Amino acid sequence: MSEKKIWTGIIAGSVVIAGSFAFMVHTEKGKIRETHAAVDSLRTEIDKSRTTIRTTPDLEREVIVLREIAERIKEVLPDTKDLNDLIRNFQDYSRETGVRPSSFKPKDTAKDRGRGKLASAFEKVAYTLTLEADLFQFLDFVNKIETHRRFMSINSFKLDATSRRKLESEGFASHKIQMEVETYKYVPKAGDTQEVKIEGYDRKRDLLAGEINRRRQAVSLASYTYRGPRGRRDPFIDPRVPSKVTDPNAWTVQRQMDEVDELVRRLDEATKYWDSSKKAASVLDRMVQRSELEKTLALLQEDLRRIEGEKKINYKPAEKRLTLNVVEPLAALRSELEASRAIAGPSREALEQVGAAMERHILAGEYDAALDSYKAIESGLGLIHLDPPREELAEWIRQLAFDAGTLRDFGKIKLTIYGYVIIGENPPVVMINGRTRSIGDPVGTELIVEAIRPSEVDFIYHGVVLTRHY
Amino acid sequence: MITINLLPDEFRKRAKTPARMVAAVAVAVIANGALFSWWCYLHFGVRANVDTTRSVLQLDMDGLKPQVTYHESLQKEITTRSARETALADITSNRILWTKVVDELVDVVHAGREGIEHYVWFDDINVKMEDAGANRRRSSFGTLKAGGHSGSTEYEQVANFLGDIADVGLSPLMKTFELPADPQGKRNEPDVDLIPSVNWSFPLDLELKSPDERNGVVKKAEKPAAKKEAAK
Repeated sequence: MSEKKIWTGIIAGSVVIAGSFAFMVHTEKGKIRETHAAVDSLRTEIDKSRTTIRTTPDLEREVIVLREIAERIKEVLPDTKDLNDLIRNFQDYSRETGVRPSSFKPKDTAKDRGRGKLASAFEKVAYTLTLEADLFQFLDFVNKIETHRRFMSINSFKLDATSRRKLESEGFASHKIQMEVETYKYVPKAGDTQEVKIEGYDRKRDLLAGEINRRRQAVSLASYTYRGPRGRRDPFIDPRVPSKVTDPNAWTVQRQMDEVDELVRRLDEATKYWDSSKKAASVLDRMVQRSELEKTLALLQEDLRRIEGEKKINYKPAEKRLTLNVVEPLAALRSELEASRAIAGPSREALEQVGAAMERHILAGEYDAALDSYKAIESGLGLIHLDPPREELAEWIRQLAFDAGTLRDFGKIKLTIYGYVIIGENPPVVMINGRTRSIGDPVGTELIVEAIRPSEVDFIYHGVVLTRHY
Repeated sequence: MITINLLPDEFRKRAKTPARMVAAVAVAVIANGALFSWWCYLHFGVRANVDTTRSVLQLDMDGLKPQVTYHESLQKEITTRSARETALADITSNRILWTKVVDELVDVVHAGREGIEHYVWFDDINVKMEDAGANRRRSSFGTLKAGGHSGSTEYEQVANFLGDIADVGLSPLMKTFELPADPQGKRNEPDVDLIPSVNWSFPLDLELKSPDERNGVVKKAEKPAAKKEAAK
């Protein structure tokens, strides 16, 4: 081989080998660079992950709290419409508050579906209710809706006040009301709520009890405690009074309405006693209920007689309400009661109550009221002659009725007394109705002069000695 | 001239590799050896080291991954669950408790002491709320309109009543409504059968404040006109 070829071989071989090694080095460096980059990326990722998982305990706490209050939130904003339940609630509230619904119908709310960021987060369900009620019944009804456990709101309502004429004929206010009640159904997003398993859940939940309670409170809806009319008038009732009333002590419209309301309440109470006595499981229980009923009725009738006698109720709506809701139901209750005790007669308590009421009336000079009380019980007195203790009370009541009648009739006899002469042992003389009378002289057909004293004369009237002052 | 070496092989001089060639081969060997050594250093030293580091970090990362996944699952559950809470907060913020508002209005009527300050009743009331969900910057958020009567010959009692509505010391109605419209009234035909026989009809127009104002989140900015007045 020639030297030239050898040189060529050496050089070529060296270059090839060197080139190969250079390529290997280059490749290796590239791989090292890539690995370095991967290492850096891993480091960044690890740092990021560490930072992320550092907040995991906070998230766990938040998830636990949210899970624990989820039921409450679901109650307020449920997944279902539950419209049947909603209508049942309206019915209950109507019954409790006394409003008189006339229609209910769902409202098309498709166009009102949640918009913007809350698109499809919830679906609105609305009902239009039409009803009649006075303002305070309506407010009670609205309050019950607004404090319902499910979120409900009233977005619009219209109230047309009842006319004065209608109020006078019915005796109570029937404002026409149309209202729109809205509630919402939550629309969960697809793939919602897959519960993550949290280690030591119960222990962690117990530690968060305070926070859970606080958040549960925060979820509770704002509410208002409605406390009724509180002596205020319904501002949708024309409060003007008839100009013909001349009595300066006449009750205001509000007072009249309040007094009638009070009588209605007491009659309701009496009706409850009556119902309880009918449903009583034992004789003793029935007697107790009857006794309470008798007491309530006696007082109620006494007050009713006084109010009617004094003609304090002259505001037409109040008067009508008194007739429809007190006088007529009371008479019906009385007759029902009388019918039920046709055999037994009035109870001892009833007799005592009536007797006491009559005594009070007689002392107050209200003889007619005393006789009215007697009339209420008179028919039953004949039924108790076989019961000596009650018969004794009946006798007392009859005597009181006799006294009341005598006093009333004596009071009605017109006597003009003026001038008297009392000198020593001589018989005294007095001028009555323009004529002189001595002791033993008759005055009219029923009176006999019994005694003459300065400023007063005693008469015998129906076997009773009565004194007339002059 | 041709030279012929006739000496037997054992006596002949050995043919020597030229020094230049040896030197060249040596240089080539050294250079290639250096390159090989460098490659070995990179491959078995640097790269192995970096690979080890990467393996350690990957192991670390693999250990963290389940925790990150757990974290993300929690995050997702929070997002899902709090969406209902957010929706609830949004719809409740716009609600008005009308029992409270009307009760407050009845209080104001009652505060007139049956004619000493004012003696008011209404024919109707119409309440309408606008849906605030769509646009919280709208001009009207709802209205309360009522047809009122003032039972007095003195028409200043209408102003007394509207003044009582606007009186924050007497009634909290102004937390819910803007100031009432300016007073106006019309005298009705007197009814001699009733006391008082004279009454004035007047409208009660109240505009609802925005939900944020009602909830006390923001206070309404002063109107430009008011600002100008203040500047003067």
